[in-house]
Amino acid sequence: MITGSYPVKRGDYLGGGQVSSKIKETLRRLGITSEIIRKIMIAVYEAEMNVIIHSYGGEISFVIDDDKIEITVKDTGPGIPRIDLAIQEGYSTAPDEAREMGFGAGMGLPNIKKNSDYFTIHSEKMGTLLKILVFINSDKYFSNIDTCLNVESEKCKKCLRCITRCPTKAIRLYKEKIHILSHHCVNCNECIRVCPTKVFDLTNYEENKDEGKEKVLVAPSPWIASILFSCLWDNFEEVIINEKGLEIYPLAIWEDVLKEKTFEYIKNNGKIKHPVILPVCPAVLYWIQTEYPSLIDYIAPYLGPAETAVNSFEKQKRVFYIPSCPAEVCAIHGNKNSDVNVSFILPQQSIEMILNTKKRTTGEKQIDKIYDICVDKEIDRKIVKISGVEQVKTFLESIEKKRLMYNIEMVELYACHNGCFGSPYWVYEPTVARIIFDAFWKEQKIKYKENKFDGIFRVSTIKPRKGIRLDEDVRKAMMKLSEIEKISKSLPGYDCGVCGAPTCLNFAEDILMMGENISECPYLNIK
Amino acid sequence: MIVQDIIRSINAEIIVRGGTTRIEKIFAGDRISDLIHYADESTLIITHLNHISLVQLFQIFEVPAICLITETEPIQELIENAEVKKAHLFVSPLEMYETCGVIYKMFERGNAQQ
Repeated sequence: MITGSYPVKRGDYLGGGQVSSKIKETLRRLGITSEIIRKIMIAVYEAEMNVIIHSYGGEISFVIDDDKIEITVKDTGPGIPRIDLAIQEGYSTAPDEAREMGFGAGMGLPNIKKNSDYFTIHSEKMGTLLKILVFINSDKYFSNIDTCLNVESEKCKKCLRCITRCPTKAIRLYKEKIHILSHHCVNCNECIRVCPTKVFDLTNYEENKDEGKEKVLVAPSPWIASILFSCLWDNFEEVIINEKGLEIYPLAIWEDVLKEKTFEYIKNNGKIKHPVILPVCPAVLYWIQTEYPSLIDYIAPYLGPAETAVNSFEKQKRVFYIPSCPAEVCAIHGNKNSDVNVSFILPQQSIEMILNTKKRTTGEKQIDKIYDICVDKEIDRKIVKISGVEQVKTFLESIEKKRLMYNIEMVELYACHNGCFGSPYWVYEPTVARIIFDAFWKEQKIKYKENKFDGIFRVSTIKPRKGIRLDEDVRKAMMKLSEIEKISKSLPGYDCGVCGAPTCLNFAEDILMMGENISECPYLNIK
Repeated sequence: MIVQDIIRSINAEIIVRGGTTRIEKIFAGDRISDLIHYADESTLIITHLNHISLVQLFQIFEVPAICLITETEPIQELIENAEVKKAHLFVSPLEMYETCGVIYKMFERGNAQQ
């Protein structure tokens, strides 16, 4: 890994481009292709000039590793008042002196966006933070999504439920071993939910445990609902702060921020595609990237609530997060700033935390107090919530085929029924838990509004996912495709899953690409 | 097309003479963001700009030639950088529209001959 950091002075037009030149020299020495260097240079140069023209000064740093370069541009203010306008081509607030030199065309941020594979911007009066990521290996132009599933094949009883249930047909069971096809898996909870022997679980990432830091816990709504069923919220919060030194921030803070920001974005952008998909469920986003890339433009250009939450705290704090699915673990890892220290508390551990804390509180439960409020709960008519893989699939197909018969402004899509409340990790009935939480949040949110957190803009960061490639050479790929069709015709077409693949076509593909044996098909053996 | 042919065709004043460079693209404009978007090792840039900001076209984007318009006197930093990078720097006596027209016709002829 190679790193570097350079200061950029306010109004230093003479020195403009020097940082870009230094980074370019480093890239050249590393043997990076000129095409990639050009992309990086356009983005860095525009960013450098933005700091010179618009800020009080700042710093550009970079980290180069095997497959990517990450550039961080940080200034000390005065911030960008309207990021949504600033990323539009032609919008400029540059002073006359900059315009005379050919700058101020309003193409800075749009050019950065065009030339980076990932781009995020966060701005407030104290300064602007810009992150640019360019994959050095061009293969990574497409999004590369990790699989955050831990698989213990030895527990498998071969019930085949996971294979048939997986919405993207990403699971195989060959030779007593479960295989996850990483180019298909969207990290939803379906395999975890249907497996009776707990073969699948979340992967936990161990981070540096810096005990000296202040600790904050970003608490997802279903976890809070679980607390409400057990004890009084205020008592629970007090015990957690006193005993564990953890300050709790409900994730709902950032869910509300995301909705507000997206409403604002829709209001200011007439040409936006409808319905706008809120990036609330990372599994759905991965699914869109994998199977519905034409719908990427419908996704609101903000980071999801969990990713925004962990990036909202200063680096002096250690952030704990309780994920409800593997997709959240992946999304946080893929989008967190490198200086943010995040640790995951797995759902099972978080439930234990509730049970242990409950013992130290009085017998009263929050649910008894908020029952009356549930009755007159307001219905949010502006946002449609659709949950469950089948319903989400039908809805996405309707948008893709332009068959949506009704006007929806904004939509929240969740892979789990009733959103994260329906994750298999949470024990209470999801519909009830959601109602209880909504009532609680209606009462409590004023308390948390004091911490003015902001949304984090994500521009063009979502790319189509590279699917399986039969061969780099199109001619060879065509030949392989016809070979797969030939094998598939020799299979019975029952899609029974006994061979270990979800469908006969998938099995034919695996015979050719993974060297599986056609004799694994039970029906061919009968013949 | 080589740079020297272009210089001759518009009867430009040569400020810095670079090496023999083949030009594959020509871009005319006065906004840096546009220029850097098109600039590369085989691009001739035609512009009214005569500022320090142009230096980076040589430095970072390796542009082999810049043509300034209507008898502008190039600033010293631009001349120095062109010399260091062995790039061409010349000034057209014509307006931008006319300069582009003459070069465009040359390109057309060149393509027809090929």
